[in-house]
Amino acid sequence: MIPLNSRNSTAERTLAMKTTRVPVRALAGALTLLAAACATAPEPPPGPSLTYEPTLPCAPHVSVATATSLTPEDPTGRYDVITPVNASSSCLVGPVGTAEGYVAYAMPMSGKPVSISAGAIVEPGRMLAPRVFTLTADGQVARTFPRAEMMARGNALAVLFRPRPDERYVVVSADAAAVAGAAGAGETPLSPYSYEGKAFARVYFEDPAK
Amino acid sequence: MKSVHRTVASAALVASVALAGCSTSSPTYNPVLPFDPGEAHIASFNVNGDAVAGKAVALNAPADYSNVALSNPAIYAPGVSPVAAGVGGALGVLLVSAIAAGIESARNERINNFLYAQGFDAKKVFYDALRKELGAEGYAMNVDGEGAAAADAGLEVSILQYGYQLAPVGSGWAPVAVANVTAKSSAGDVLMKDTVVVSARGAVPVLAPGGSGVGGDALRMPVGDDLMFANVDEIVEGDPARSVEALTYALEATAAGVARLLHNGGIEQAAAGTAETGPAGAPTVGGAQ
Repeated sequence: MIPLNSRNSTAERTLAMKTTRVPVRALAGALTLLAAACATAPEPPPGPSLTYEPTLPCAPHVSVATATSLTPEDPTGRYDVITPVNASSSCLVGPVGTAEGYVAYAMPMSGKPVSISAGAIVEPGRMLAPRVFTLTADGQVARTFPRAEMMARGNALAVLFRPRPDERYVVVSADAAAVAGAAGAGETPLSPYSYEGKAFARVYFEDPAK
Repeated sequence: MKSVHRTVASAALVASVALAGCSTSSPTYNPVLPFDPGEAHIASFNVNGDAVAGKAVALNAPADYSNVALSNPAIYAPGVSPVAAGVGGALGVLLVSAIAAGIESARNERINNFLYAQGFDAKKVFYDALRKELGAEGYAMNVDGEGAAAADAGLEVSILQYGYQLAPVGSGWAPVAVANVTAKSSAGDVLMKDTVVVSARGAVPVLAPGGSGVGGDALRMPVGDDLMFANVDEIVEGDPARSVEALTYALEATAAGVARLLHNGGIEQAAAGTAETGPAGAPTVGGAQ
Protein backbone atom coordinates (compact mmCIF):
# COMPACT_ATOMS: atom_id res chain seq x y z
CA MET A 1 0.00 0.00 0.00
CA ILE A 2 1.52 3.30 -1.00
CA PRO A 3 1.09 6.02 1.62
CA LEU A 4 -0.18 8.71 -0.70
CA ASN A 5 -0.61 11.18 2.13
CA SER A 6 3.08 11.10 2.97
CA ARG A 7 4.96 13.68 0.89
CA ASN A 8 8.32 12.19 1.93
CA SER A 9 7.48 8.72 0.86
CA THR A 10 9.99 7.22 -1.57
CA ALA A 11 7.24 5.13 -3.04
CA GLU A 12 5.17 8.22 -3.73
CA ARG A 13 8.08 10.01 -5.37
CA THR A 14 8.72 6.97 -7.53
CA LEU A 15 5.05 6.83 -8.49
CA ALA A 16 5.06 10.55 -9.20
CA MET A 17 8.10 10.20 -11.45
CA LYS A 18 6.51 7.30 -13.24
CA THR A 19 3.32 9.22 -13.85
CA THR A 20 5.40 12.11 -15.15
CA ARG A 21 7.46 9.94 -17.43
CA VAL A 22 4.58 8.03 -18.93
CA PRO A 23 2.95 11.08 -20.56
CA VAL A 24 6.36 12.22 -21.82
CA ARG A 25 6.95 8.83 -23.38
CA ALA A 26 3.45 8.75 -24.74
CA LEU A 27 3.94 12.21 -26.17
CA ALA A 28 7.24 11.20 -27.75
CA GLY A 29 5.59 8.12 -29.20
CA ALA A 30 2.72 10.17 -30.57
CA LEU A 31 5.14 12.64 -32.14
CA THR A 32 7.09 9.79 -33.72
CA LEU A 33 3.89 8.35 -35.13
CA LEU A 34 2.87 11.78 -36.35
CA ALA A 35 6.22 12.27 -38.05
CA ALA A 36 5.95 8.82 -39.62
CA ALA A 37 2.45 9.63 -40.84
CA CYS A 38 3.67 12.88 -42.34
CA ALA A 39 6.56 11.12 -44.05
CA THR A 40 4.19 8.71 -45.79
CA ALA A 41 2.61 10.38 -48.77
CA PRO A 42 -1.11 9.64 -49.03
CA GLU A 43 -2.08 7.34 -51.82
CA PRO A 44 -3.56 9.15 -54.78
CA PRO A 45 -7.28 8.60 -55.28
CA PRO A 46 -8.15 5.80 -57.70
CA GLY A 47 -8.67 6.83 -61.29
CA PRO A 48 -11.60 5.79 -63.46
CA SER A 49 -12.07 2.16 -64.49
CA LEU A 50 -12.70 2.31 -68.22
CA THR A 51 -13.15 -1.43 -68.59
CA TYR A 52 -14.96 -3.90 -66.40
CA GLU A 53 -13.83 -7.43 -65.64
CA PRO A 54 -16.23 -8.93 -63.11
CA THR A 55 -15.28 -11.88 -60.98
CA LEU A 56 -18.88 -13.10 -60.91
CA PRO A 57 -20.72 -14.38 -63.97
CA CYS A 58 -22.94 -11.79 -65.60
CA ALA A 59 -26.68 -12.41 -65.67
CA PRO A 60 -29.15 -10.95 -68.14
CA HIS A 61 -31.32 -9.69 -65.28
CA VAL A 62 -30.87 -8.18 -61.86
CA SER A 63 -30.77 -10.61 -58.97
CA VAL A 64 -32.54 -9.27 -55.92
CA ALA A 65 -31.60 -12.29 -53.82
CA THR A 66 -28.81 -10.33 -52.20
CA ALA A 67 -30.42 -6.91 -52.31
CA THR A 68 -29.20 -4.49 -49.68
CA SER A 69 -31.87 -3.39 -47.26
CA LEU A 70 -32.85 0.24 -46.94
CA THR A 71 -34.82 -0.48 -43.78
CA PRO A 72 -33.10 1.06 -40.75
CA GLU A 73 -33.77 0.10 -37.16
CA ASP A 74 -35.39 3.47 -36.63
CA PRO A 75 -37.22 4.48 -39.80
CA THR A 76 -37.19 8.23 -39.25
CA GLY A 77 -35.16 11.02 -40.78
CA ARG A 78 -32.64 10.18 -43.46
CA TYR A 79 -31.10 6.79 -44.00
CA ASP A 80 -28.04 6.38 -46.20
CA VAL A 81 -26.40 3.31 -47.60
CA ILE A 82 -23.20 3.58 -49.62
CA THR A 83 -22.03 0.51 -51.51
CA PRO A 84 -18.83 0.05 -53.51
CA VAL A 85 -19.26 -1.14 -57.07
CA ASN A 86 -16.20 -3.09 -58.13
CA ALA A 87 -15.08 -6.32 -59.80
CA SER A 88 -16.73 -8.46 -57.13
CA SER A 89 -20.11 -6.73 -57.40
CA SER A 90 -23.13 -8.41 -58.92
CA CYS A 91 -22.94 -8.20 -62.69
CA LEU A 92 -25.60 -7.45 -65.25
CA VAL A 93 -25.53 -7.49 -69.02
CA GLY A 94 -26.60 -3.94 -69.68
CA PRO A 95 -28.68 -2.41 -72.47
CA VAL A 96 -25.70 -2.15 -74.80
CA GLY A 97 -24.62 -5.74 -74.15
CA THR A 98 -21.76 -4.80 -71.85
CA ALA A 99 -21.06 -6.20 -68.41
CA GLU A 100 -22.00 -3.71 -65.70
CA GLY A 101 -21.61 -3.97 -61.96
CA TYR A 102 -24.67 -3.07 -59.95
CA VAL A 103 -26.21 -2.81 -56.51
CA ALA A 104 -29.85 -3.65 -55.82
CA TYR A 105 -31.43 -1.92 -52.83
CA ALA A 106 -34.60 -3.20 -51.22
CA MET A 107 -36.89 -0.32 -50.38
CA PRO A 108 -37.89 0.16 -46.74
CA MET A 109 -40.16 -2.42 -45.19
CA SER A 110 -41.16 -0.13 -42.33
CA GLY A 111 -41.66 3.56 -41.75
CA LYS A 112 -43.02 5.88 -44.40
CA PRO A 113 -40.47 6.78 -47.07
CA VAL A 114 -41.52 10.01 -48.77
CA SER A 115 -38.67 10.17 -51.25
CA ILE A 116 -35.56 8.26 -52.26
CA SER A 117 -32.35 9.54 -53.79
CA ALA A 118 -30.12 7.05 -55.60
CA GLY A 119 -27.04 7.35 -57.76
CA ALA A 120 -23.28 7.66 -57.42
CA ILE A 121 -20.90 9.44 -55.09
CA VAL A 122 -18.55 11.90 -56.75
CA GLU A 123 -15.00 10.89 -55.84
CA PRO A 124 -11.86 12.98 -56.37
CA GLY A 125 -10.50 10.99 -59.31
CA ARG A 126 -13.54 9.19 -60.60
CA MET A 127 -17.18 8.40 -60.09
CA LEU A 128 -19.41 5.51 -60.95
CA ALA A 129 -21.36 6.41 -64.08
CA PRO A 130 -24.78 5.70 -62.60
CA ARG A 131 -27.82 4.16 -64.24
CA VAL A 132 -30.85 3.97 -61.96
CA PHE A 133 -34.06 2.01 -62.32
CA THR A 134 -36.69 0.49 -60.05
CA LEU A 135 -38.18 -2.99 -59.90
CA THR A 136 -41.48 -4.37 -58.73
CA ALA A 137 -41.70 -7.17 -56.16
CA ASP A 138 -41.67 -9.76 -58.93
CA GLY A 139 -38.66 -8.21 -60.58
CA GLN A 140 -40.32 -6.34 -63.41
CA VAL A 141 -38.69 -3.04 -64.27
CA ALA A 142 -41.07 -0.37 -63.04
CA ARG A 143 -39.24 2.82 -63.99
CA THR A 144 -35.97 3.77 -65.57
CA PHE A 145 -34.62 7.23 -64.98
CA PRO A 146 -33.00 8.76 -68.03
CA ARG A 147 -29.69 10.47 -67.62
CA ALA A 148 -31.36 13.84 -68.06
CA GLU A 149 -33.19 13.27 -64.78
CA MET A 150 -29.99 13.01 -62.78
CA MET A 151 -28.96 15.98 -60.74
CA ALA A 152 -25.85 17.03 -58.90
CA ARG A 153 -26.78 16.98 -55.25
CA GLY A 154 -24.05 17.69 -52.76
CA ASN A 155 -21.21 15.40 -53.73
CA ALA A 156 -23.42 12.94 -55.56
CA LEU A 157 -25.09 12.54 -58.92
CA ALA A 158 -28.53 11.17 -58.26
CA VAL A 159 -32.16 10.88 -59.16
CA LEU A 160 -34.74 11.83 -56.57
CA PHE A 161 -38.10 10.11 -56.75
CA ARG A 162 -41.16 9.33 -54.71
CA PRO A 163 -41.49 5.56 -54.42
CA ARG A 164 -44.66 4.17 -55.91
CA PRO A 165 -46.66 1.44 -54.23
CA ASP A 166 -45.62 -1.19 -56.77
CA GLU A 167 -41.88 -0.49 -56.50
CA ARG A 168 -39.84 -2.70 -54.20
CA TYR A 169 -36.25 -2.30 -55.36
CA VAL A 170 -34.06 0.46 -56.70
CA VAL A 171 -31.01 -0.56 -58.69
CA VAL A 172 -27.87 1.48 -59.30
CA SER A 173 -25.68 0.03 -62.01
CA ALA A 174 -22.75 1.22 -64.06
CA ASP A 175 -23.74 2.90 -67.30
CA ALA A 176 -21.43 1.51 -69.97
CA ALA A 177 -22.63 4.02 -72.55
CA ALA A 178 -21.79 6.92 -70.26
CA VAL A 179 -18.36 5.50 -69.48
CA ALA A 180 -17.73 5.16 -73.20
CA GLY A 181 -18.86 8.74 -73.64
CA ALA A 182 -21.60 7.89 -76.13
CA ALA A 183 -24.33 9.22 -73.91
CA GLY A 184 -22.32 12.06 -72.52
CA ALA A 185 -22.00 14.26 -75.57
CA GLY A 186 -21.86 17.81 -74.37
CA GLU A 187 -21.89 16.66 -70.79
CA THR A 188 -19.15 17.46 -68.32
CA PRO A 189 -19.08 14.80 -65.62
CA LEU A 190 -18.56 15.94 -62.06
CA SER A 191 -15.64 13.50 -62.03
CA PRO A 192 -14.42 11.09 -64.76
CA TYR A 193 -17.02 8.38 -65.33
CA SER A 194 -16.00 4.91 -64.28
CA TYR A 195 -17.33 1.34 -64.18
CA GLU A 196 -16.27 1.19 -60.57
CA GLY A 197 -16.95 3.57 -57.74
CA LYS A 198 -19.56 4.08 -55.08
CA ALA A 199 -23.30 3.67 -55.43
CA PHE A 200 -25.63 5.04 -52.81
CA ALA A 201 -29.24 5.27 -51.83
CA ARG A 202 -30.74 7.71 -49.38
CA VAL A 203 -34.23 7.36 -47.98
CA TYR A 204 -36.14 10.32 -46.60
CA PHE A 205 -38.73 9.14 -44.16
CA GLU A 206 -41.75 11.21 -43.35
CA ASP A 207 -40.99 14.13 -41.10
CA PRO A 208 -42.60 13.15 -37.79
CA ALA A 209 -43.15 16.84 -37.06
CA LYS A 210 -45.52 17.16 -39.99
CA MET B 1 -1.10 25.99 -5.89
CA LYS B 2 0.14 25.49 -9.41
CA SER B 3 -1.95 22.38 -9.76
CA VAL B 4 -4.99 24.37 -8.70
CA HIS B 5 -4.24 26.89 -11.40
CA ARG B 6 -3.78 24.13 -13.92
CA THR B 7 -7.05 22.55 -12.90
CA VAL B 8 -8.91 25.82 -13.19
CA ALA B 9 -7.29 26.53 -16.53
CA SER B 10 -8.13 23.07 -17.79
CA ALA B 11 -11.70 23.41 -16.63
CA ALA B 12 -11.98 26.76 -18.37
CA LEU B 13 -10.55 25.27 -21.53
CA VAL B 14 -12.95 22.35 -21.45
CA ALA B 15 -15.85 24.66 -20.74
CA SER B 16 -14.81 26.96 -23.57
CA VAL B 17 -14.51 24.13 -26.04
CA ALA B 18 -17.84 22.77 -24.87
CA LEU B 19 -19.37 26.19 -25.34
CA ALA B 20 -17.92 26.41 -28.83
CA GLY B 21 -19.33 22.98 -29.51
CA CYS B 22 -22.75 24.18 -28.48
CA SER B 23 -22.54 26.99 -31.03
CA THR B 24 -22.68 24.45 -33.84
CA SER B 25 -26.29 23.51 -34.28
CA SER B 26 -27.18 20.09 -35.58
CA PRO B 27 -28.61 19.74 -39.07
CA THR B 28 -32.34 20.06 -39.24
CA TYR B 29 -34.28 17.31 -40.91
CA ASN B 30 -36.08 18.67 -43.89
CA PRO B 31 -36.89 15.95 -46.41
CA VAL B 32 -36.71 16.94 -50.04
CA LEU B 33 -39.59 16.06 -52.32
CA PRO B 34 -39.28 15.79 -56.09
CA PHE B 35 -41.86 17.51 -58.25
CA ASP B 36 -44.89 15.32 -58.70
CA PRO B 37 -48.01 17.05 -59.97
CA GLY B 38 -49.94 13.78 -59.94
CA GLU B 39 -52.90 13.88 -62.25
CA ALA B 40 -53.03 17.67 -62.28
CA HIS B 41 -51.98 19.51 -65.39
CA ILE B 42 -49.95 22.50 -64.30
CA ALA B 43 -49.20 25.13 -66.89
CA SER B 44 -48.58 28.15 -64.68
CA PHE B 45 -47.15 29.11 -61.31
CA ASN B 46 -47.83 32.04 -59.07
CA VAL B 47 -44.49 33.04 -57.55
CA ASN B 48 -44.06 35.07 -54.38
CA GLY B 49 -42.69 38.53 -55.03
CA ASP B 50 -40.30 38.63 -52.09
CA ALA B 51 -37.91 35.85 -53.07
CA VAL B 52 -34.96 38.24 -52.98
CA ALA B 53 -35.55 39.76 -49.59
CA GLY B 54 -32.04 40.38 -48.30
CA LYS B 55 -28.90 42.13 -49.41
CA ALA B 56 -25.86 40.47 -50.91
CA VAL B 57 -23.34 39.06 -48.47
CA ALA B 58 -19.68 38.15 -48.74
CA LEU B 59 -18.68 35.34 -46.43
CA ASN B 60 -15.13 34.32 -45.76
CA ALA B 61 -16.01 30.92 -44.37
CA PRO B 62 -16.14 27.80 -46.50
CA ALA B 63 -19.69 26.90 -47.41
CA ASP B 64 -21.51 25.11 -44.67
CA TYR B 65 -25.17 24.91 -45.45
CA SER B 66 -25.84 22.06 -43.05
CA ASN B 67 -28.56 23.98 -41.33
CA VAL B 68 -29.57 26.15 -44.20
CA ALA B 69 -33.23 25.22 -44.11
CA LEU B 70 -33.77 27.09 -40.90
CA SER B 71 -31.12 29.74 -41.34
CA ASN B 72 -32.16 33.32 -41.39
CA PRO B 73 -30.27 35.01 -44.23
CA ALA B 74 -30.36 38.31 -42.43
CA ILE B 75 -28.51 36.94 -39.44
CA TYR B 76 -25.12 35.59 -40.25
CA ALA B 77 -23.44 34.04 -37.25
CA PRO B 78 -19.72 33.65 -37.87
CA GLY B 79 -18.36 30.27 -36.92
CA VAL B 80 -16.48 30.09 -33.64
CA SER B 81 -13.66 27.60 -33.67
CA PRO B 82 -12.70 25.52 -30.64
CA VAL B 83 -9.20 26.95 -30.98
CA ALA B 84 -10.50 30.47 -30.56
CA ALA B 85 -12.52 29.30 -27.64
CA GLY B 86 -9.51 27.64 -26.08
CA VAL B 87 -7.38 30.73 -26.39
CA GLY B 88 -9.63 33.09 -24.58
CA GLY B 89 -12.28 31.04 -22.87
CA ALA B 90 -15.90 32.15 -22.99
CA LEU B 91 -14.88 35.80 -23.12
CA GLY B 92 -12.61 34.99 -26.04
CA VAL B 93 -15.48 33.32 -27.85
CA LEU B 94 -17.54 36.47 -27.54
CA LEU B 95 -14.62 38.68 -28.48
CA VAL B 96 -13.70 36.65 -31.55
CA SER B 97 -17.36 36.54 -32.55
CA ALA B 98 -17.70 40.29 -32.20
CA ILE B 99 -14.54 40.99 -34.20
CA ALA B 100 -15.54 38.51 -36.90
CA ALA B 101 -19.03 39.99 -37.10
CA GLY B 102 -17.55 43.47 -37.40
CA ILE B 103 -15.23 42.46 -40.24
CA GLU B 104 -18.07 40.62 -41.92
CA SER B 105 -20.34 43.63 -41.63
CA ALA B 106 -17.72 45.97 -43.12
CA ARG B 107 -17.11 43.56 -46.00
CA ASN B 108 -20.80 43.24 -46.75
CA GLU B 109 -21.14 47.01 -46.76
CA ARG B 110 -18.31 47.29 -49.30
CA ILE B 111 -19.97 44.72 -51.53
CA ASN B 112 -23.37 46.36 -51.34
CA ASN B 113 -21.96 49.83 -51.92
CA PHE B 114 -20.25 48.46 -55.00
CA LEU B 115 -23.42 46.79 -56.26
CA TYR B 116 -25.44 49.94 -55.62
CA ALA B 117 -22.91 51.99 -57.58
CA GLN B 118 -23.24 49.54 -60.45
CA GLY B 119 -27.02 49.79 -60.39
CA PHE B 120 -27.30 46.08 -59.79
CA ASP B 121 -30.91 45.02 -59.27
CA ALA B 122 -30.83 41.52 -57.82
CA LYS B 123 -34.60 41.20 -57.76
CA LYS B 124 -35.00 42.10 -61.42
CA VAL B 125 -32.17 39.77 -62.43
CA PHE B 126 -33.73 36.87 -60.57
CA TYR B 127 -37.35 37.33 -61.67
CA ASP B 128 -36.42 37.97 -65.30
CA ALA B 129 -34.35 34.79 -65.27
CA LEU B 130 -37.06 32.81 -63.51
CA ARG B 131 -39.69 33.87 -66.05
CA LYS B 132 -37.39 32.84 -68.87
CA GLU B 133 -36.41 29.51 -67.31
CA LEU B 134 -39.96 28.56 -66.33
CA GLY B 135 -41.03 29.50 -69.83
CA ALA B 136 -38.45 27.13 -71.24
CA GLU B 137 -40.06 24.38 -69.16
CA GLY B 138 -43.46 25.34 -70.56
CA TYR B 139 -44.80 27.25 -67.57
CA ALA B 140 -46.34 30.70 -67.44
CA MET B 141 -45.51 32.79 -64.39
CA ASN B 142 -47.44 35.26 -62.29
CA VAL B 143 -45.90 37.25 -59.46
CA ASP B 144 -47.94 37.85 -56.33
CA GLY B 145 -51.13 36.93 -58.10
CA GLU B 146 -50.71 39.44 -60.89
CA GLY B 147 -51.14 37.89 -64.30
CA ALA B 148 -53.42 37.38 -67.23
CA ALA B 149 -55.06 34.37 -65.64
CA ALA B 150 -55.09 32.61 -62.32
CA ALA B 151 -52.13 30.27 -61.91
CA ASP B 152 -52.53 26.53 -61.54
CA ALA B 153 -50.13 26.20 -58.61
CA GLY B 154 -48.05 28.25 -56.22
CA LEU B 155 -44.28 28.54 -56.11
CA GLU B 156 -42.57 29.87 -53.00
CA VAL B 157 -38.92 30.81 -53.48
CA SER B 158 -36.79 32.08 -50.64
CA ILE B 159 -33.24 33.11 -51.48
CA LEU B 160 -31.52 32.66 -48.16
CA GLN B 161 -28.18 33.94 -49.31
CA TYR B 162 -26.59 35.41 -52.39
CA GLY B 163 -23.32 37.15 -52.90
CA TYR B 164 -19.76 35.94 -52.86
CA GLN B 165 -18.04 33.40 -50.71
CA LEU B 166 -14.54 32.13 -50.15
CA ALA B 167 -14.26 28.71 -51.73
CA PRO B 168 -12.92 26.14 -49.27
CA VAL B 169 -10.16 24.87 -51.54
CA GLY B 170 -8.28 28.15 -51.56
CA SER B 171 -9.19 28.96 -55.11
CA GLY B 172 -10.55 32.37 -54.21
CA TRP B 173 -13.96 33.93 -53.95
CA ALA B 174 -16.88 32.66 -55.95
CA PRO B 175 -20.45 33.84 -56.50
CA VAL B 176 -22.88 31.91 -54.36
CA ALA B 177 -26.61 31.58 -53.83
CA VAL B 178 -28.87 29.37 -51.76
CA ALA B 179 -32.63 29.17 -52.24
CA ASN B 180 -35.37 27.10 -50.67
CA VAL B 181 -38.17 26.24 -53.09
CA THR B 182 -41.64 24.85 -52.46
CA ALA B 183 -44.37 24.24 -55.01
CA LYS B 184 -47.92 23.78 -53.81
CA SER B 185 -51.14 22.90 -55.56
CA SER B 186 -54.10 25.23 -55.37
CA ALA B 187 -55.44 22.87 -52.71
CA GLY B 188 -52.29 23.34 -50.66
CA ASP B 189 -50.66 19.97 -51.30
CA VAL B 190 -46.87 20.08 -51.48
CA LEU B 191 -45.90 19.20 -55.03
CA MET B 192 -42.20 19.80 -54.58
CA LYS B 193 -39.85 20.90 -51.82
CA ASP B 194 -36.16 21.31 -52.42
CA THR B 195 -33.15 23.58 -52.22
CA VAL B 196 -30.91 25.06 -54.91
CA VAL B 197 -27.29 25.86 -54.14
CA VAL B 198 -25.00 27.74 -56.53
CA SER B 199 -21.42 27.26 -55.45
CA ALA B 200 -17.89 26.80 -56.71
CA ARG B 201 -16.85 23.48 -58.10
CA GLY B 202 -15.08 21.40 -55.51
CA ALA B 203 -16.84 23.19 -52.72
CA VAL B 204 -17.97 20.07 -50.94
CA PRO B 205 -19.60 19.23 -48.72
CA VAL B 206 -22.58 21.41 -49.45
CA LEU B 207 -25.61 20.88 -47.28
CA ALA B 208 -23.92 17.79 -45.97
CA PRO B 209 -25.87 16.29 -43.12
CA GLY B 210 -22.66 14.81 -41.75
CA GLY B 211 -21.77 11.29 -40.94
CA SER B 212 -23.11 9.67 -44.03
CA GLY B 213 -20.60 10.76 -46.61
CA VAL B 214 -23.30 10.94 -49.22
CA GLY B 215 -23.29 14.69 -49.34
CA GLY B 216 -26.00 17.21 -49.45
CA ASP B 217 -29.62 17.26 -50.33
CA ALA B 218 -29.65 20.36 -52.48
CA LEU B 219 -29.51 20.60 -56.23
CA ARG B 220 -26.11 22.02 -56.90
CA MET B 221 -25.40 24.41 -59.75
CA PRO B 222 -21.68 24.76 -60.42
CA VAL B 223 -19.71 27.96 -60.79
CA GLY B 224 -17.01 28.05 -63.44
CA ASP B 225 -13.42 28.94 -62.72
CA ASP B 226 -13.80 32.03 -64.89
CA LEU B 227 -16.03 33.59 -62.25
CA MET B 228 -13.57 33.33 -59.38
CA PHE B 229 -11.93 36.27 -57.65
CA ALA B 230 -8.66 36.36 -55.73
CA ASN B 231 -10.07 38.53 -52.96
CA VAL B 232 -12.77 41.04 -52.09
CA ASP B 233 -10.63 43.88 -53.43
CA GLU B 234 -10.77 42.29 -56.86
CA ILE B 235 -14.55 42.10 -56.61
CA VAL B 236 -15.10 45.74 -55.64
CA GLU B 237 -12.09 47.38 -57.26
CA GLY B 238 -11.35 45.11 -60.22
CA ASP B 239 -13.36 44.78 -63.41
CA PRO B 240 -16.86 45.78 -62.29
CA ALA B 241 -18.51 44.11 -65.28
CA ARG B 242 -17.00 40.78 -64.31
CA SER B 243 -18.04 41.14 -60.67
CA VAL B 244 -21.60 41.93 -61.73
CA GLU B 245 -21.54 39.09 -64.24
CA ALA B 246 -20.58 36.66 -61.49
CA LEU B 247 -23.43 37.69 -59.22
CA THR B 248 -25.83 37.75 -62.15
CA TYR B 249 -24.80 34.19 -62.87
CA ALA B 250 -25.50 33.14 -59.26
CA LEU B 251 -29.06 34.48 -59.45
CA GLU B 252 -29.69 33.20 -62.97
CA ALA B 253 -28.36 29.78 -62.04
CA THR B 254 -30.70 29.80 -59.04
CA ALA B 255 -33.61 30.48 -61.38
CA ALA B 256 -32.41 27.74 -63.72
CA GLY B 257 -32.19 25.37 -60.78
CA VAL B 258 -35.74 26.18 -59.68
CA ALA B 259 -37.01 25.47 -63.19
CA ARG B 260 -34.91 22.31 -63.30
CA LEU B 261 -36.62 21.06 -60.17
CA LEU B 262 -39.97 21.62 -61.86
CA HIS B 263 -39.02 19.65 -64.93
CA ASN B 264 -41.73 17.15 -65.47
CA GLY B 265 -41.60 14.16 -67.71
CA GLY B 266 -38.93 12.07 -69.27
CA ILE B 267 -39.27 9.27 -66.75
CA GLU B 268 -39.80 6.27 -68.89
CA GLN B 269 -42.17 3.51 -68.11
CA ALA B 270 -40.14 0.47 -68.96
CA ALA B 271 -41.95 -2.60 -70.13
CA ALA B 272 -39.09 -4.99 -70.62
CA GLY B 273 -36.81 -6.58 -68.10
CA THR B 274 -37.24 -8.98 -65.25
CA ALA B 275 -35.27 -9.58 -62.14
CA GLU B 276 -34.05 -12.90 -60.98
CA THR B 277 -35.30 -13.90 -57.59
CA GLY B 278 -33.65 -15.89 -54.86
CA PRO B 279 -33.15 -19.63 -54.93
CA ALA B 280 -36.56 -20.23 -53.42
CA GLY B 281 -38.22 -18.11 -56.03
CA ALA B 282 -39.19 -15.22 -53.79
CA PRO B 283 -37.01 -12.16 -53.60
CA THR B 284 -34.98 -12.03 -50.45
CA VAL B 285 -33.10 -9.09 -49.14
CA GLY B 286 -29.99 -8.63 -47.12
CA GLY B 287 -29.60 -6.84 -43.84
CA ALA B 288 -29.25 -3.14 -43.39
CA GLN B 289 -25.80 -1.69 -43.45
